[in-house]
Amino acid sequence: MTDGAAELSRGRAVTRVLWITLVLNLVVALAKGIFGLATGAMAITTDAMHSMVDATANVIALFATRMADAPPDPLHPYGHRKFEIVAAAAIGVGVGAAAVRFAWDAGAALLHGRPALHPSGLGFGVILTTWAINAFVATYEARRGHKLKSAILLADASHTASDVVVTGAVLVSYSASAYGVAWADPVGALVVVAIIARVSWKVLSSNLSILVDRAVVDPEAVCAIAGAVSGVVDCHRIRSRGTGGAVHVDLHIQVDGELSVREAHDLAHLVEDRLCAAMPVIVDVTVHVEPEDDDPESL
Amino acid sequence: MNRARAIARALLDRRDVSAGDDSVARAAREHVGRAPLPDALLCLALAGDPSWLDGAAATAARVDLLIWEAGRTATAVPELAAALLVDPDGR
Repeated sequence: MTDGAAELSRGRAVTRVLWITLVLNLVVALAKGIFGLATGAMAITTDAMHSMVDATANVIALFATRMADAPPDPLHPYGHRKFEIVAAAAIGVGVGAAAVRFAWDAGAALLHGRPALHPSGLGFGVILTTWAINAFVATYEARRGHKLKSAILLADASHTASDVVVTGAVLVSYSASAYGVAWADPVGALVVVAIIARVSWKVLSSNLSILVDRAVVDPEAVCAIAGAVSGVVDCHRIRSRGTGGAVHVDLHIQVDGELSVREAHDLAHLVEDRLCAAMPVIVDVTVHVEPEDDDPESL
Repeated sequence: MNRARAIARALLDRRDVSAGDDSVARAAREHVGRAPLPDALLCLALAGDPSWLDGAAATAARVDLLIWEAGRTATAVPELAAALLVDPDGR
């Protein structure tokens, strides 16, 4: 399979997982939302909005994945993979914004006081069923994310995994309400908010490091590999950037100044090939060749 | 690595006057992990018993690359050949 065909196949697999999780997240959000609004259960309604954010995130991810699969073009010569990262960061921002809104509502309920909920068998049924769906979605998405090396799937899986804990907290607060504890519902909502905020920060920070071009491979390791090629005397200015599955590297190598252009060119190609072979995450290497008697600091 | 080139030769000269002292071997092991090909191979010859590589996975991987590259380019390092062919019982 060619690189392009493999990338297309990966993109389709990621899209399929996102469609499945989108449908399941919508089912979960609707079930919780309808029940929460009908009964005034604040924690369940908050959790429903949380699930709706998940569904929205899936829609953003679907759009971004389609963009990420597009081949490089003159305006985007490094490809479109960063669209996926931008979408993942947008999920972090969206979830964080939702957390602020939920915290406001729950805080107001605690300050102004409100009567205890009257839990029902149907309520417990809704919570337990959506709990099981969340657990399935989180496990399935994480497995596929690792297999396909997809940042968007892993970010979303991490988020959905938190839903399992969130729904657990909702179950506890709902049960406490059955014993007449009036503050259990808003406190349950605040617990949901805290978990949402934590996930938001985690997703945001991991994707921002890619957007700001944080180094992704060890320069010492790159230098050790490049320096093992016969004819390479020194290497420096080693830079790397990209996602875990698609890393771009550039470096300067020093070689014998008497080499012909063709010999130096062949040597640079050899360094590129060795780096790609030793580190399969590398998709592109740019080698700048210098004569060994030049001062690296002056270049 | 330009300095490493000089260091590899200096270590070779130092080896004869520092019998019983493992400072040469320790310095050589460090350079195996980062020096250019001929110097790294020379340092490998000075690094002593190869069991030190058991605890240095990254350097061991580089030694594989160095030996493969030495074969591809027919790089001759007589000191390494002597170190590899030495009989532990002195025979």
